[in-house]
Amino acid sequence: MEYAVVEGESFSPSCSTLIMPALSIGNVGQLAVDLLISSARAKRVAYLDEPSVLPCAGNDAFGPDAVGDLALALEAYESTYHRLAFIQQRSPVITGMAVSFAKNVADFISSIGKEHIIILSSLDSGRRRVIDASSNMQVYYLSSCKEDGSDPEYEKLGWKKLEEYDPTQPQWKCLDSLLAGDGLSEDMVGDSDEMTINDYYASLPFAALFSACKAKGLKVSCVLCYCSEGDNMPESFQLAEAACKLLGQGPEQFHGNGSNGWTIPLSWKSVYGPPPDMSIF
Amino acid sequence: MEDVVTDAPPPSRLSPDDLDNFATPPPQPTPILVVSPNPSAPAPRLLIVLISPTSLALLAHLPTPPPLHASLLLPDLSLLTHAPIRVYLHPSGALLAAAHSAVPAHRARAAARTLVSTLQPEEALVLDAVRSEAYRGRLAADEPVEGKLETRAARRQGGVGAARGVAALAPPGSVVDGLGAAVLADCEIRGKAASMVVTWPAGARPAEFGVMRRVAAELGVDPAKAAARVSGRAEMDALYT
Repeated sequence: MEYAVVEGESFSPSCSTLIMPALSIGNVGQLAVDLLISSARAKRVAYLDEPSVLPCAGNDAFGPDAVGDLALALEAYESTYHRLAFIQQRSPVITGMAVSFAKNVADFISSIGKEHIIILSSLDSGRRRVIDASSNMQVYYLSSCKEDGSDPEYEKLGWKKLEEYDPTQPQWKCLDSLLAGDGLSEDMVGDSDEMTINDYYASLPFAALFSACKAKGLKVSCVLCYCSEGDNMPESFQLAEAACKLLGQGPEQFHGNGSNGWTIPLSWKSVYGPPPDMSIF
Repeated sequence: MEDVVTDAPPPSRLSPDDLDNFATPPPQPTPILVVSPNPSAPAPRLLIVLISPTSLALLAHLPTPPPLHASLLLPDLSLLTHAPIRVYLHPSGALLAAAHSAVPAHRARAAARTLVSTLQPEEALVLDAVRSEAYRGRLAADEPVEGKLETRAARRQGGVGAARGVAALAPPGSVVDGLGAAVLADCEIRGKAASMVVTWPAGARPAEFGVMRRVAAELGVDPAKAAARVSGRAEMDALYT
């Protein structure tokens, strides 16, 4: 992965924690990172050039006014005040290159000296096996703290470890093998008809990023929530608040213009397109 | 009435392959840019990338057909009569890269990188079209819209060429993808000045846009003669065989 540092900026060693999204249903991780960048008033430090990400370009995503500050598909931001770094991804990865993307991202993050990676992502409610009244508000996690993905500190936050994570299962071992560049052995290539629900979770982008960062020796945490496709802003607030909880920073520590401390990104104002044409009435 | 419990969920904004670590990637051989041998030709100051039908219409109305300078081949695409991107040398010294056929999204970055790194222009002007699915404003079928995106280097100088005077693309949240975005991104990474102007409707006459009238003037094209939209490859081929 190549990158171009913005003039006058540099990666700060004080921003050792990096938050990034993993593509997922509802784009929840990306919306949450938008919210965090906007509220932390993080500055763009670099444009990232990754061959596996589809190109896109847009006007300033954060504002307060869209004056033509170019936004590209993959960017790095930092807030030295909050000691946080961010990667924002605005377009999908080329089909079949998710593992390559994860490896390149992990290599890049390691090269700029980041130590703790927090991946924000969502899971499809339709795949959930157990549904209870509190399921929608429950935050799930995976951590590199222990081999089984659990972390006692996250349990204290009221989070639940993603039960479907089992690094000994074939698809998770597939990921590790692909990330190590070993390719797939015959026993790893499963029959698609025999894929289980656990295999599904291993196929998601957050799994590739989690495994890649672990393989690089980075401390990595996945923060997850279930959702359905639709207006996913509520889920993005949920994930952003969860990230703050993990970091011990409350939304009130961000310089938000909202009553809850969050600054709504400029690009959210038109997220559902223009208002209806009233002239038809 | 649909059964919300058992019916299939609505389609996602992301395709299933976007969210599958184990999907098979498409072949992506390195693009080939075949450049006409001309050792005396200096590096071009300006590369104009013509993507929208409106901008391609200008090419078809140049006073004299400019010589072919280079052809970009994507070996993974099915054999076409002509290369997807052909680069012509304008008498002014500018290079005109015409996207004669659509470049698949997953090949856009590779194509853009090959163009910019091989041709090495000092600056670039991309003329593309607004795509309604990625635009967050209101689009009327007969109301011209134009907006620009540009690199930091271009902003410092007020824009590249005819893009000066064009307002920034609005509303915020609107994005452009494909070859045009890839050229812009590559120029930003390299620190080059590049402006991309997108126009709507995609097939509108060049004379309806200020940027197109200025480009036409620079290329020696009479905008009134470029009123007829060139929509098919046959018309382009007849001019440049």
